[in-house]
Amino acid sequence: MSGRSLALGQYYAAKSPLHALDPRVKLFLSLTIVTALFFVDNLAVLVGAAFLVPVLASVAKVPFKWVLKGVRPLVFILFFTFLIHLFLTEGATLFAIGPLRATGEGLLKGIFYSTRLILVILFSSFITLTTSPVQLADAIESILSPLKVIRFPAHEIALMMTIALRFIPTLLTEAETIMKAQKGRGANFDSGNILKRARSFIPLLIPLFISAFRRADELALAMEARGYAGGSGRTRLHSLKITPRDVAWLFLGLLIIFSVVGLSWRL
Amino acid sequence: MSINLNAASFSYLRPKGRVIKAILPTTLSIQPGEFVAVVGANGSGKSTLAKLLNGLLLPTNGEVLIDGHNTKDADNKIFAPRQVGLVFQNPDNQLTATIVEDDVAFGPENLGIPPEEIRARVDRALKTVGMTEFKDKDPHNLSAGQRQKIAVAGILAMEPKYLVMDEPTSMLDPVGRRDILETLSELRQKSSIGIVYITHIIEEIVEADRILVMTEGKITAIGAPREILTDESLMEMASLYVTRPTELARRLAKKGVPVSKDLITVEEVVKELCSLK
Amino acid sequence: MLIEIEDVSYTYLAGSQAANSALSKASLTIDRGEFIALIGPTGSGKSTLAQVLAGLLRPSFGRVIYEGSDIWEEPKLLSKRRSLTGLVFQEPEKQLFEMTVAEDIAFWPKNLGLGAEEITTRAKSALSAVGLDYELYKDRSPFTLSGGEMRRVAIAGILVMNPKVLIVDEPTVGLDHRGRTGLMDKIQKLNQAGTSIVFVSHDMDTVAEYAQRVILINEGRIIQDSSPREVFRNKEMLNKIGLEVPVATEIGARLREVGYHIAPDPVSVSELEAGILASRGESQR
Repeated sequence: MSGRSLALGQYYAAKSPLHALDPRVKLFLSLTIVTALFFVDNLAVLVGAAFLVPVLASVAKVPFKWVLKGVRPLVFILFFTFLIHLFLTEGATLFAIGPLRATGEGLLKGIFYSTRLILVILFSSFITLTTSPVQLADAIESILSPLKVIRFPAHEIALMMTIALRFIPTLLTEAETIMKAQKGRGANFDSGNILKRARSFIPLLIPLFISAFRRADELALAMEARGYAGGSGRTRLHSLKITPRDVAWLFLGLLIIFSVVGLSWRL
Repeated sequence: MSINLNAASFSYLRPKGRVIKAILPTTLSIQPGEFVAVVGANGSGKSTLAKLLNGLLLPTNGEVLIDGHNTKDADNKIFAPRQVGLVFQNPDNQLTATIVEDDVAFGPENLGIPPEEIRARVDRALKTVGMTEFKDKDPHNLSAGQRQKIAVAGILAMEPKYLVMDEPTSMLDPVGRRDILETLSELRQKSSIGIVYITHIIEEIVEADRILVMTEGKITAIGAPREILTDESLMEMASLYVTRPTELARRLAKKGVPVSKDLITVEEVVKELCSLK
Repeated sequence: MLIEIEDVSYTYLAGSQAANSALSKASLTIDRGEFIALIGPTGSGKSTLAQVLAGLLRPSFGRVIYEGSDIWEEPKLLSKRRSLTGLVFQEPEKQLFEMTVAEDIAFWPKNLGLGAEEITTRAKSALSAVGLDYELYKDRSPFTLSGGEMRRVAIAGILVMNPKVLIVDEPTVGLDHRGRTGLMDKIQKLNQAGTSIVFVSHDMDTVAEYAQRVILINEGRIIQDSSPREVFRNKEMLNKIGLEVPVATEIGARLREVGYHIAPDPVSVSELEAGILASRGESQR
C-alpha cells in the first residue's frame, strides 16, 4: 500500500546545476521571470522565450515531457482564456457561431495570452521540479525570517508545511482503507443526491479526523521527546548559504531575462 | 551515572475528580549498558513509566534523576531528551520529514549542534541501523520496519546515554521485528547505551539483563529473565504468557525427562536435549 | 461451496507506469465451517486477496463467485451479496464513528434498511459473540472504551451482518496477551458455530494452533494450499521468503539434526513433546 506516493509538487530528483542552486535564488529568479513575462508584449519574443524551456529542462536534467506535464491540469483554463480573447475582441470577423463572432485580432490576442500563460506555468514549474519540498520550506522560512522581529511565525509555518507534506500521503492511504472498510459495512459513497452524498462521507471523515488528531498528539510527543522546543537555538543539517556559484547563476539569469524584455521593447 | 526513580509516581485528575495513580512509589535505578525489559498488560502503566524516564511527564510525587539531574528542574528541559531517547510504537507518527536524512537530523538540529557535526551524526546513526542506502528516500515509501529503524536512528543521532523503547515492534511484521531486535543487540554489544525496552512479546526479552513486571500501575517484580519468566504465579497475575520453550521443558520434566523445567529459550531447550543424546 | 475464485488477478494503478501486480491467477474455494490461515510475507498480496474475497476489490481478471453467482456480474445485487463475507481490517477500531456503540454496530443493518427490532436482535448477538454485554455497552461512546474493547465493538459491527465467511486481517496486532487469547477464542467459537474463518496472520504459532488449512502466498501467487503440517514442513523455503515456522517445528527440526527421530512436522508443543518422548523410548529400547 505504501508503495504509492503522491507526486506532490512533482519534484524530479536529479543532480543538476539547477537542483544545486540555492532555493531562494530559484524563487527570486522565477518570480522575476514571471513578472518579466508580463512586460513582454511581442508574440515573436514570447515564442522565442519558449525555446528557453527545453534548454532549461536539459540544464535541469528533467525530461522535457515531465516539464510539459505541469500544463496538463490547466488545459481547461488555457482553452478558456483563448476562447474569451478569440470571441470578445473587436475586429474583422473570421467566422461566427450563433451570436459569437471570432475576430482576427481576437485570434492573435488569444494565441498571445495563452502562450504567455503557458510560459508562466512552465517557467515557474521549474521551482517545484528542481527543489524538494523540504528545501522549499527552508527557503520560505529563510525569506520570511526578517519578519520574525514582528513575531511573524516564519519557522512554524515552514515546519507546518514540511509536516503536512509528510502526513498527506499517510492520511490518503488511511482514507482509502477506511473507505473500503465502510463499504464493506454497506456504506455507499457514490449515489444519491448531493445532500445524501455529503452525509455518506461522515463515516469516512469522522474516523479520519480522529486518526489525524491522534497522530498529531503522538507526533507532538515524539517531537518533544526529540528535543524540539521551538525555532530558536535550532541549527540545520542543510543550512542555506549563498555561494559564489549561486551569485553567478543569479546574474546570468537576470541578464537573460532583461535582454529578452529589452528585445521585446526594442521591437 | 544512572537513571534513578526515587519514589516517583504520577497521578492525574479525571473529569469526575478521581485521582488515578499511574505509577506507585518505587525506587528503581537503570545503569548505562544495561538492557531492562518492561512487561505488563495494557494499561499497567508501562508507557507512563517510559515518559517519566525522559521527562515528557514529570512525577507528581518523588523524583526522577537522570545522571543526577532532576527532570523537574526547568534547566533540564532539553537535558532530559538529550540523555534519554524515546522511541514510540507507531513509526508513522514520529517521523517529521519527507526525506530520511532530514528526519534523522531533526533531533540534533533541535539540540543546536553545528551542521558538520549533524552530518557526521546522521551518517553514523543511519549506518548503525543499516539504512545508509535509504538516506535520500521518502519514509512513506519504506516498510514499517524500515521506518521504525529511521525513528531509532533519529534518536541515536542525538547520542543519548539511555534509550527507552515503548513497544517498538508491536506494529511490525516478523521481518521488521527481527530487524529492530538485531539493531538492538548490536547496540548492546558495541555501545554502552542503557536500554529500557517495553513489550508484550516475551520471546523478545529472554536475553534481557533484568525484567521489570508492571501490574495496575505498580512495579510488582524486578529480576533476571529466568527468575521472572519461570515464576508461574507472577506470570499469571501479570497476565503474561509462558513461552513455548518453557512450556515444553516443563512438560518433559514432568514426564521424567532429565531436563530443567526452567528453560526459557529455544537454544537452551535444544542444548539440553542434545546433551541427552 | 461458499466462495470460489477463479484465476483472479489484480493490478494496482492498472494502465499507468507504476502498475503493480498484486495478485496473479489466484484460484481457491472456501467451504462452510473452514478455518483457513492466509500467510505470506509483507507485500505478498495477502491483503489484496482478502479484499478480493470480501468483494471489496474488483479483480482485473477472473471471477469471484459467491454461492454459485458471480458477484461482479450484477452491480445492483453487489452490496447485498457482499454480506456473505465480512472483512475485519487491521486495527478495525479506526473505523468507529458513531456516538454510541449500539449506533455504530447498527451501521450495516441501517444501510440495508432493516427494522429496529431486527437491528437490536442482531446487535445483541454480535456483541455477545465478541464477549461484550449489550445492555452494558450500548449507550457508551466507543471512544471511551479501552483499545481491546474498541476492537471488539468494531468486530461486532461486522458480525452484525451474520457473514458466512469472516475474514480477519491480523486481528490481534497491538493487543496484550490476555486480549490476544480472548479474541482468538471468540473467533474459534464463531468457527465452531459454523462460520468459515479466513485468518490473515504473520504469527505462525497462532496459525498452527487454530487453522485447519493454510494458504501460502508469495509475490501475488498462491504457492501452497494445504494443511498447516504440510506447509510448515518446508521450513527452508518459508525462511527464504521471510516467514518463520512455529516454535515447535523449529525445535523439532533442530533436534532431528542431532539424531532425534521426530517426524519433520510437529506444529504444536504437545506434538513435539510426544515426538521427543517417543524418540527417547525408541533409543532406550
